[in-house]
Amino acid sequence: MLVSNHEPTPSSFELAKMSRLSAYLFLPACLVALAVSAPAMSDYALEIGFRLLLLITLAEAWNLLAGYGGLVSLGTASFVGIGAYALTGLMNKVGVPFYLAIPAAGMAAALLALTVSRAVFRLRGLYFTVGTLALAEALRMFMVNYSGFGGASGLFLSVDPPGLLDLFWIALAIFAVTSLAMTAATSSRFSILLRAVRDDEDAAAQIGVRPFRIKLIAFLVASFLMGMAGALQGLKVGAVEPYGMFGIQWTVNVLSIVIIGGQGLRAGPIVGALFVVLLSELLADYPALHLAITGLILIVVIRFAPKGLVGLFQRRQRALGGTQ
Amino acid sequence: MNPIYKNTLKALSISMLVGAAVSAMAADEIVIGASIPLSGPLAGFGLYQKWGYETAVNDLNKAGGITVDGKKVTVKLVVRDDKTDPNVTASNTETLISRDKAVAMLGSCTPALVNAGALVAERRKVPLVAGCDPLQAFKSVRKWQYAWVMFFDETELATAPFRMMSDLNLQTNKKVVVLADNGPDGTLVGGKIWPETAKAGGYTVVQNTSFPTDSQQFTSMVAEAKSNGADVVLVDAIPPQAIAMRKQMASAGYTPKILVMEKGAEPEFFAQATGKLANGVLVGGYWDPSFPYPGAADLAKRFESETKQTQSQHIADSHAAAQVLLDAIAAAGTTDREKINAAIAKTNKSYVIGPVKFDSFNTSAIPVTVMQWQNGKAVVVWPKDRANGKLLFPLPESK
Repeated sequence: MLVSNHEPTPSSFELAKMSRLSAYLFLPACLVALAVSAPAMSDYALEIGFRLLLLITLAEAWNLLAGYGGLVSLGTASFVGIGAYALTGLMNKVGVPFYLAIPAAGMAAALLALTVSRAVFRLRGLYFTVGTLALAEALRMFMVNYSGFGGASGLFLSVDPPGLLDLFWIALAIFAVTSLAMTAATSSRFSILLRAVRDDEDAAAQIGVRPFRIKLIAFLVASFLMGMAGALQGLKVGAVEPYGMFGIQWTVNVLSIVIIGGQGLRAGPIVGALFVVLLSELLADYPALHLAITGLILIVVIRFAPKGLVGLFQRRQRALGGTQ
Repeated sequence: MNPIYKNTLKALSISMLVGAAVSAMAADEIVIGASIPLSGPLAGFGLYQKWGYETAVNDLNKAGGITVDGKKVTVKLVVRDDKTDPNVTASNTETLISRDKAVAMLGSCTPALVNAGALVAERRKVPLVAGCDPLQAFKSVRKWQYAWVMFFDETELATAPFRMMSDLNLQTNKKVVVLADNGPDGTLVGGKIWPETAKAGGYTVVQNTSFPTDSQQFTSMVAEAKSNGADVVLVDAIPPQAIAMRKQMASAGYTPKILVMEKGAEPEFFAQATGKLANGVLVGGYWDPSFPYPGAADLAKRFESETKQTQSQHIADSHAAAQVLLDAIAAAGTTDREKINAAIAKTNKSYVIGPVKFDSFNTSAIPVTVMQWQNGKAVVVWPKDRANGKLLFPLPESK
């Protein structure tokens, strides 16, 4: 073993405590700094920032379900789509301002989650995954074929969308709500119950945990956040149509981000989203290469770093700590 | 600070520096952007568009570039793949404007994609010229100020087969089957214009079926059409569906006298994928190298010699869209987007697709023809003054 002159290594409990503390302080400070400095940012930085915040929100929500709750859902697109359509409908038909329409769209997505929860929670493991994928596809097909919501042509927002700076601020606000929700959900008694259900649902039930209720809360929170993210995307594009808003690409993007960043880890979605967005920007001129590299990275990460980049980093830190 | 956040910040800073370096623009060039479908179901259109846009820009650069603020500059065309996804078109358009500093944009293809990019361009007050979006679908979105489209009008296109049958006095049992996707133009053409025109012309629509734009299974609707015994079948579908439907019609042994496949039968790969089954299939057209427009014949020859593929109408509309934009930048003599937009509005010139002059809806209509696949080639069969081939009637039996 190496002999070191460094300070004694803190225990994993202390590390976790420090990490939580810095997250509590660092993240709000970053958000405030970003909000204040946004007017000085270039349009490009605002656009990338917006995209990052939107994807992080979606990835955080998915991470709550899959990473913490073991509910590997492939139904992200349903909630994104419902959020986008709800916002467009509320703004066009009822004249609701966007700052009310966004949370209302989140509620619409949560309502959908509540409606289908009994059916999808009857399924476990891979069956749940396939069930949520079927839900997303069924909804997409319904929206394509039902002319009441514009059919395949979709709907256009009747008012002009806000400017890029305003959109960035809204995305920041939604991200702040997401962070709060995630912090509450991952550092409370609920988090322990959720992980107990994830690790062994039957055993958890035996000791008094009510799995349905716990899973439902996680599902509702995640769907609400995804619905708000979808509403934000609908507001930005100014047009919603079923192929884009209910498209499988939302599900795939979010899944890739969390797998690359680190499933079940608080920093996973942030690191994953940064990695994916920056890679796509750097390789924007080489779309084929971008696809190939992303695929290769996913394979390598799944094979060698099942806890993603953040997990790999933590493992390295622990290994370094152990050798000292 | 948590090492994870610290490293994340480092990565972010490095990437932003790299991004800034990548987006740094040479002083002697201006950038125009294009987000087009190079992958996904509409990739067949995007490849032609890319060639048309690039050819117009390369020709201009070879001729010395463009004068902006009294100085000759070259034009850099930055093309991005929108993967046939309107969300990607919107995001590409945003980054082309903000990162690549595009002074103006060239549009994508089909209403969903063109409109998604145009809405961003409109919000950012950046001129966008497109050549692949049917005019009524474009006009129905909003009153455009910065987006401009030159393409055919759906009513013109949809009524063309009926006008052709009347002109050429084609004998049918006057029974019509309409099979149209439920996309914006499919709904308009299949749901409204074809039934109305059929009725006005004394035809009876015995079946009108709408389907989602990602269906691949058409056997039941084809079987129904066969049992209805219609001599005229009008289809509005994207290429993969048109190919599947043509093959399924052959499998069912159904051969109407007239088969029109709008959109889907347009690109060459329809003829390649269906082989002999393409023979006799009709599709609305708006351009052929034989048309008496400046550079038409030469453009097709260049495409075929450079790519070793058969030309498509989309090389012409995309080439013309790029030329209209480049001419407007030259006329404005500046990169000021408002002035470029004002110059586009004043366009009044003949291009490879014919005369272009925008109306108050920011659209310029291209006259419509009817084309027919004959031995792997698309020939113009109507109107008579444009025809360069004789109509194959009735549709040959599929063997």
